[in-house]
Amino acid sequence: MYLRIWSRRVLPWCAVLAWGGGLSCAARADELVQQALALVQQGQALQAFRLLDAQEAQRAGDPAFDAAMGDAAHAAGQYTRAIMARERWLAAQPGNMEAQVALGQSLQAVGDRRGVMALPAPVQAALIPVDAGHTLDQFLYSYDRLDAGGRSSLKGYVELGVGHDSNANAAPVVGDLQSPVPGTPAWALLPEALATSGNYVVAQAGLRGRAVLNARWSVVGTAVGAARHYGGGADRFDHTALDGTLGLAWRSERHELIASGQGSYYALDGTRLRTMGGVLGEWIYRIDGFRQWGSFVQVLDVRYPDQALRNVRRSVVGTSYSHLFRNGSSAYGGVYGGQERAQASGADALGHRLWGLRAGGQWPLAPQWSVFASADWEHRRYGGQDPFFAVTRTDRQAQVALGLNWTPSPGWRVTPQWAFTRNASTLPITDYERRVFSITVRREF
Amino acid sequence: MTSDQKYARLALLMGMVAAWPLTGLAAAGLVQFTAGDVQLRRGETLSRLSKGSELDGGDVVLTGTEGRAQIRFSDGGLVALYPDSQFTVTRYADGAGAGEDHFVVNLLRGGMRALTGLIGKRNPANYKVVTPTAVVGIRGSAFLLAIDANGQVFVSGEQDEIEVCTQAGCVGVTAGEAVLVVSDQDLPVYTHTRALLPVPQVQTPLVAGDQVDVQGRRAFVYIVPAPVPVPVPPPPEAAPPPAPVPVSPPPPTGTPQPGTPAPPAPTPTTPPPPTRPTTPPPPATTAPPPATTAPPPPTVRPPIVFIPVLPIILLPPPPPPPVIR
Repeated sequence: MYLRIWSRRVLPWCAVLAWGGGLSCAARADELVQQALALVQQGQALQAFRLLDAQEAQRAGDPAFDAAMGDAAHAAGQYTRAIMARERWLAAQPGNMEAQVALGQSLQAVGDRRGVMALPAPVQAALIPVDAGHTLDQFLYSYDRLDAGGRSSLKGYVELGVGHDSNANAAPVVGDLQSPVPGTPAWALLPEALATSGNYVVAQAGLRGRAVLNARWSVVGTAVGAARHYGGGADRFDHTALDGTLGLAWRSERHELIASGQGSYYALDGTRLRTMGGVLGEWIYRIDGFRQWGSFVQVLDVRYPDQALRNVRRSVVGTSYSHLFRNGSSAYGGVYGGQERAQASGADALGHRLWGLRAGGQWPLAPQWSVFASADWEHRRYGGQDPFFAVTRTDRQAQVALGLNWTPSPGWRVTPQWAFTRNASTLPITDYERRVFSITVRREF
Repeated sequence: MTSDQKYARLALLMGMVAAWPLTGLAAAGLVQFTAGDVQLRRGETLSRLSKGSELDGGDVVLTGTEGRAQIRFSDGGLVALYPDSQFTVTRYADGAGAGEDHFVVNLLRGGMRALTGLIGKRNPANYKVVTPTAVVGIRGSAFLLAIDANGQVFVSGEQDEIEVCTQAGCVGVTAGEAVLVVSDQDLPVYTHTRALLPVPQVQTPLVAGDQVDVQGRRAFVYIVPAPVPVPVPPPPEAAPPPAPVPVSPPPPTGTPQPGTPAPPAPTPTTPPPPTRPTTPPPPATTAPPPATTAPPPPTVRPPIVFIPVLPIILLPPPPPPPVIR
């Protein structure tokens, strides 16, 4: 009897109280999430992360909490914690595209390419392309395929492009030049030495690979061929270039040393103009998966079969630093120096000492788009007074390039690019400007 | 990592430990999340593992094909287990007081992602993840470990540095790097790619001003004679203007003579073939300045005559015989 009365009169109130208490807890919980999200928006991500972290053991598995936790942790640079929170979010809501994309962003931030590749294709399409975001290959190159996993691999590409070259023969714009000797006649240039502009088509193909011998030793190689054909009057500057390297690589911990032999062939309009052969030593020090130092020493014999006086031995050393940021952007900077020593006796004026600076970067704009830019500057001081112009030649060459990368689908890349070269030289005939605009389509395989 | 960052991270870990639920103090770990099929084997007993369950040394966690679990340890460390994993807490001792720290877990199959806690900070040497082929030691704080169907162990670093050891030795793995352990007899192999900045390119061989002829002279440059200043007025019947006299530049092998033109070439020279030799250059349209007539074909250069006078005066040569009849 009493029990029935108690159950009728007391239990409803208990239920109401319990429900109200639950609501209160839920309200407080939501308040916690809202507070954390507000902190993230205010740029106080670490504070938001700490706020949520204190409650994680109790609230893990709550999609709202896990989503906020993922956002706060990611913004605070706690990428592993963000992955864990977003995995919980996704486990609770498997079809949630937002959760998948968020998880993909955190996986990219730690360099977990396998995790990214395991996500559905539509999610990958909404992320920074793995090819563009996880390599520095707009400026840098690698012997390994991304999915090689430390094993032997071979990769290649084919590239077709069209472009316009304002100065195909790198000629001075002016045709008649003042003589350096007062009172003497002016100089003039033959017509083929005048700046010649033209449209062109270019085809290029390349192979790079590594054959792993054991955990430390491997054989690496590169073969690249390119042909450019100009239209109209500039077709006498059609050229073909072939380059190849073959070397032995040794790696240990963060270091990799590569010694390679190099060969190069350059033909102008079907006639051999230059060949090169030499050795290249490279030392790569990988600070971590995102930062790297690279240094090199190169000794190269540059030969001009029909202009033997121009033959030089080029010796260059340099170093560079490259950085891959967690958002997929990348940057590099480098410095180098050396000399080109003329091989013929008495031709010191054709050899030079050089040093240069290089910098560049790539930034993702959208999932399939990125912009890149580079700037190179090189100073060359030649070894003697030019007998023709009676001055010592000094060149200051600057080159800037700006372009876009569009990755319509994995393995494909479309690159419009503009490049400007300015060589300020004390010799009027080597003082030139050159502008090249090109669009290339590249297929990697 | 700067000392400030280290202190911040340590403070964060201490905060995480402070937030540890009182109920979990006696256990090594607390399950904070499960999804799918996750089981706990304790001794001979197999039971379903759910959120809030406690773990102790010797416990084995088994995840099914869709199973996932996240475990928070008493030192603030976290472990996320992925599908088809078998994870054992081999030895766990949180020596926050005077005791000794130990965090030894065993992953027999599957995969795990881990974030180390205070044990990994205080006593990194005693933090180990043992797999069938490798032992992962910790010098950092976050890593991913996976064992594939062939038993190969894949380890990647996500924060700071860890070390992965086999019987052949150890390698360090930092954030963004990964290694593959093929067998316990071989060193782990790095799997991340190393990208190289290409070596600076040799200047293009096409620079017009760099071309030299067979005698080493600037192949594309010749001298345009300036009209000789004649103070007397021109005769009533103007004589035909003198023909231009292109002059080849001197070879660079000679001794530089600033201010002095080079001696005349003994014979007509032929420019080198930096451009297509069989194609004559376009004539008149790109002719030199009006003071001269169209330049001669580049294949043949007429002789030059210099009469050095102070200052140097260039005189035109007599007209070529074929022209005068």
